[in-house]
This record gives sequence, structure tokens and C-alpha cells, in this order.
Amino acid sequence: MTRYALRTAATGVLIIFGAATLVFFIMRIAPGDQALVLLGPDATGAEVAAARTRLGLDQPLPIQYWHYLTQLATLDFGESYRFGQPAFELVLSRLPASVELTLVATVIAMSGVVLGALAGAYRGRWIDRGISGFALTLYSMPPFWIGIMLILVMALQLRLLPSAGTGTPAHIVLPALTLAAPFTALLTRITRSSVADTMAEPYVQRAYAKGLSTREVVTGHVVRNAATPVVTVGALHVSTLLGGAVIVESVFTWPGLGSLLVTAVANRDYSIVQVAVLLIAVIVVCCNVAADLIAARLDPRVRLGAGA
Amino acid sequence: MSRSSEVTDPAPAEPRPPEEPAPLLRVEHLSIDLPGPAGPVRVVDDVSFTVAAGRTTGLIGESGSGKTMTATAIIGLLPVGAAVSGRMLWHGADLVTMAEQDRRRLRGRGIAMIFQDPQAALDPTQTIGRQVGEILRRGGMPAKEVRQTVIDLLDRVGVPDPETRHAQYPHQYSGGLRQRAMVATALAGSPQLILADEPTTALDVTVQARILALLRRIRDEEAMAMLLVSHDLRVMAHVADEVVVMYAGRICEVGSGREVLNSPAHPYTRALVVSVPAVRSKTAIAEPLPGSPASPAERPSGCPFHPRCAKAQDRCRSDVPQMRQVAAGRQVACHFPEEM
Ligand SMILES: Nc1ncnc2c1ncn2[C@@H]1O[C@H](COP(=O)(O)OP(=O)(O)OP(=O)(O)O)[C@@H](O)[C@H]1O
Ligand code: SF4
Ligand SMILES: [Mg+2]
Repeated sequence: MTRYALRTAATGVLIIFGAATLVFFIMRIAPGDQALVLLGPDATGAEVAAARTRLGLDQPLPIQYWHYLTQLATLDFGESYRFGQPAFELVLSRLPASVELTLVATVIAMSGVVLGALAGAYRGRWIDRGISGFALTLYSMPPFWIGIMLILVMALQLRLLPSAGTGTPAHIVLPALTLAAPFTALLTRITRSSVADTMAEPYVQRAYAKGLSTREVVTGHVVRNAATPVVTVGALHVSTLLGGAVIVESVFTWPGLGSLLVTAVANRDYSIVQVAVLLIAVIVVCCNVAADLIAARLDPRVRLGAGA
Repeated sequence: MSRSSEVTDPAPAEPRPPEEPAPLLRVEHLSIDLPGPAGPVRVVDDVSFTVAAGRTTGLIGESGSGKTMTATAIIGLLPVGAAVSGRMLWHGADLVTMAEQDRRRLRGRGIAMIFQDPQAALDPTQTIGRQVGEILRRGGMPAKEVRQTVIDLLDRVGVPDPETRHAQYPHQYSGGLRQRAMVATALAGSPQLILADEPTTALDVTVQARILALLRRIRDEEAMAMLLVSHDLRVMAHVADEVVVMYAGRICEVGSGREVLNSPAHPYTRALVVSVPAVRSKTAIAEPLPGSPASPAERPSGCPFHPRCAKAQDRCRSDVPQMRQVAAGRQVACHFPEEM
């Protein structure tokens, strides 16, 4: 267990460091910088140079990078040059909206587990064909397209739900559905194959030999054994939902981390982009650890330390 | 005259001879077709035998002879797409035509099954106690009572320290203990018939002997019927009262275990027996069976054993030998059986 904790901590630090480095260089390699955005296209060369000096952009890249790292080490994430506020606070203030959206999407996506379990338990029957076809269709549709279709049909045509903004619980429905769609498809597919594999296990045969019905066999023996891959992939995917949220939040003008990130990238607001990406990296690492811990919890061989 | 009147007389005072108790299960002309890539394959063909209370019927035959399929048909868990014909009479009711609901009620309670690989047949995520007691719990027994019954069952099958060990997981059990736990699981529903499919094959030789002794003890104590599936003649010699010898999905020979193994009438049984030295102490050297078992998908014409039979004649290649009585309680499907 200590070895596991040490290894996980080391990997986590490495991933976060890698993300910090990547975001730093990608932002600087991209054409255009803060001085240009700040001054607009009509600024003279001298004005731009002065602004660069003020922002510290005239220094060589390695020096800037070193500066950035030492700041990070002291948990100083800098200020947003646009808003003049600490970047960390700005990002944190947007986090709850994103977490809310992600959680609602995750709950919706859980329906994929139920669908997948049904399909897996009745593999090859019509119910399996229907569910698998649905999941495949959902899986092959790009999220932004689903979002636009939902807006067109539900908001503009049927006028059932608001297409943008926040305020009422109804506002979260369309963005959450859009975000949940690929995740639902993924969970359906993984649960289906995991349940179908488990159904072929000898201990499932034996459970039938005790006179259990298919429903009793599935709830009593299959669910727990089939859960490990579903939980692992599911927990990992929760973290990528944050990435999906970037697009979905922009489409639905949802005031979360994603839409903040998109404007920050457009404005070359380095501090905000860096903090947001770091935060996402930390969440990814946490989801990884959670996946491992839950998987271990589910399997007594891992939990109790298997001899065989 | 007096002899024949003895036989035909109802004689109600006379106790039933131990060799012929009332059959619990009567399998009649059972055939099973499984879907194959080139159409259905008849993996069990016209098989008939009986299993009586308090007796053990052994099903012997090489790999692929249809032993597992026969047992699986009895408990009603054949693979999807299997077609069954014939009858399986359980207390007079035909299992073949019985509604799935009723069959399910019978599983575990009337007919239980013990599987070959106790490692794979136990759910790795549940404690042994939970699995042994599952059928009781589903039957509505209160949790406290289930716990005590499970501990008693584990004790009966020889799991040491059942008070603590019932709360352990399969991976904390040795192979032999797992098989004991499987036996306890089968006993939990107080079945009248236990189907044991190669219950000792996956175990060490010393453990095998102990599990066989356990099965024999249970059969004697509970007056349970057992259908023991094995390709191991030594196992059969230990446990089986009656023996059914199968080859390529068909029955070759039926008779009392002692007689069939001591003086086999069918050339296939004979070949099996001489291939294992310990079964007959008279034969010092084992003669391995020539050739390989016939596949049910390409069953040879006539007698399916003819390509491997030393006694085969022309007739064996064209005519399927029918089962016929060669002695009391002894049936053989061979054109040229050994003299009894
Ligand atoms: N699920 C299945 N689908 C199709 N054919 C099968 C299936 N399972 C087994 N068979 C075939 O049915 C035949 C009989 O198999 P069965 O398992 O009853 O043999 P067995 O006598 O139990 O052999 P073994 O000693 O190897 O367990 C074999 O030829 C096998 O290839
Ligand atoms: S019928 Fe013929 S081939 Fe078959 S076992 Fe008897 S002698 Fe051998
Ligand atoms: Mg078998």
C-alpha cells in the first residue's frame, strides 16, 4: 500500500509538471502575444516593445520558464493581465459551474451502465441489438454537433428548454445532455462487453445451477465482477469530461471553467490558461487515484493481497 | 416352476434387493444437437440410463464423448441453441417438456451440480459463506440461521475452522478446500440428486482421494443419488455402483460398476480398462488406447468405435450396434461382445 501511494504520488507530480510545461510552451509558441492583444492591430512597434518589457515577454524563453516554475513552486499563479485579479481566484470562481455541469452529465451517463448491463446480460437478443445500435450511433456523433442539434430541436423548434445561459434548473439540461452523450455511449459499450464476458464465466453457470433467475444471477454475481473495468474507464473519463466541457460550455455560454479557458486562450491570458490547465491536470490525477482505489475495493483479491 | 413363481410373485413382504431401488431419474433416448459451423451436431445420441436414490451412477468416456452435455441437459443448462429430444423422467415428470419456471425451482433444490474447476466455479468477489448460503437466503431463511447452517455445512464437508473460514474469499482457500466448499454449496439445497462433473480432475491425487471419500460418505449418509462424470476409471472403481460407458455421444455399455470394470463386455470398455493398470491388478502393463476419440461431428458409420477396434468386422462399419442385454443388469452395444 505504501509502495502504491508513493508510486501514485510520483506519477501525479510528473503528470502535473508535464502539463505545466506543455501549456507554458504551447501558449508561447502560438503566434501573437499579450502585447498585441492588449494594444490592438494599430499599435506601433515601439508601443508593442514597451508593453513586452512591462509584461516580461522580452526575456529569453528559458528565463521566462524558470521564472514561471519558481512562481509555481511557491503556489504563486500570477495575475490575469486582462482582469487585474489573481488568476487562481478567477479560475476557482468558475469551477463550481463546471463541476455542476460535469456531475449532472455523469449522472445522466450512468444510464449507460444500466443499458450496457441489459445488453450484456441478453447478448445477441433484440434488446442487445437495439441498445448497441443506439450506443454506436451516439458514439459516432461529435459532441458539438449533438449540442447544435439539441439547440435546434429542443430550444428553437419545440421551445421546450433554454438554449443558453444559467438561472433555472432547465438551463443545465441541454448542455448536460450534450456533455453526457459520448460518455453514455462509452459506458454502454464498456458495460456491455464486461457484463457479456462475465456472463460466460463458470461461476455464473454455477449460479444458474443454484436455481437463480437471470435477474438474480446478474444482480448477485455479474454486476460486482463486471464493475472493475467500467469503474476504471468511467473514473478516467470523468476527467476528460472537463475537456469536453470546454466546447459544450462555449456552445451553450455556460459560465464555467471551459468558457473562461476559451476566452483566456483567445486573449493570450497566460496566467489563467496555466492555472486552468493545472487544475484540470490535478483533477485528472485525482480521478486516476479514485479509479484505482475503487477497483481495489471491488476485488477482494486486490484488497486482501492475493497469494495466487 | 418354483423359481419362476418366485420372480413373478409380487411378494410385498420381500425387501427390494439393493441392486434395483426405484429410479429417481430415468433418462430415455436422450439426444442433444448443438449448433455447429456446418449445421447441428449430435453430441449425445439416444442415451438411456437410470439413477436411483442412494446410488452412484458413473458416466465414463474419453474427452468429447458427451458426458458433460448429458449432465448439463439433466440440470437444464445446455448452451443456447441446443435441441433436446427424448425424455428425462424425474419422479415421473419429463424434464424435457417441463416449463422453465419449474425447472428453475428444481435446480439446486432437487438436482444440484458440482463442477470440475472449483477455482473458476466460485465467484471471486463473494465470501465462501455467502456463496454456500445463497440458495438458503434466496429461499427466505433468516440471516442468523443461514450463517449457522453454512457453518454446519462447511464443518460437514471438512472445512477446518468454519467459524472463521466461512467469511473468507475463494482465493484464500486451497484447491481441495474450494472443492469441499462446492460440495457444501451443492448440499445446501438438500438435493435428491447431485451431478458431479469431474469433481476431482483439477485436484492433486491425495486431495482427489479425500474428496472422493467425502462424496461417498455424503451419498451414504444422505441417501442421495449421484451422477458422477469422469474419464478416470480409478475414480469410478472407487465410487460408482452403476457405470455407463459413453463413446462419441453413444452408450457402449451399462452395468454394475464392479462387473463392468472387472469383466468389460464392450471392446471400448476393455481398451479403457487395460489402459489403466491400477484398475485391474491382473494386468501389470498399461496398454494405451490406440488412435484418438471420434468427434461427434464426424462420427464414423456403423459402430463409431470401429476405426479403433481390434475386433471390428465388415458389419461393424455398416450396422449401428443396438443395446442388448447380455446378462442381468448388463447391456452392451456391440455386434461381437466379450463372452460373459
Ligand atoms: N458449447 C458448445 N457448443 C458446441 N459444441 C460443444 C459445446 N460444448 C461442447 N461441445 C461439443 O460437444 C461434444 C461433447 O462435449 P462434452 O463436453 O459433453 O464432452 P465430455 O465427455 O464432457 O468431455 P471432457 O472429458 O473433455 O469434459 C464435444 O465434441 C464438444 O466439442
Ligand atoms: S461393434 Fe464391432 S467395432 Fe464396434 S465395438 Fe463391437 S466389435 Fe468393435
Ligand atoms: Mg466434460
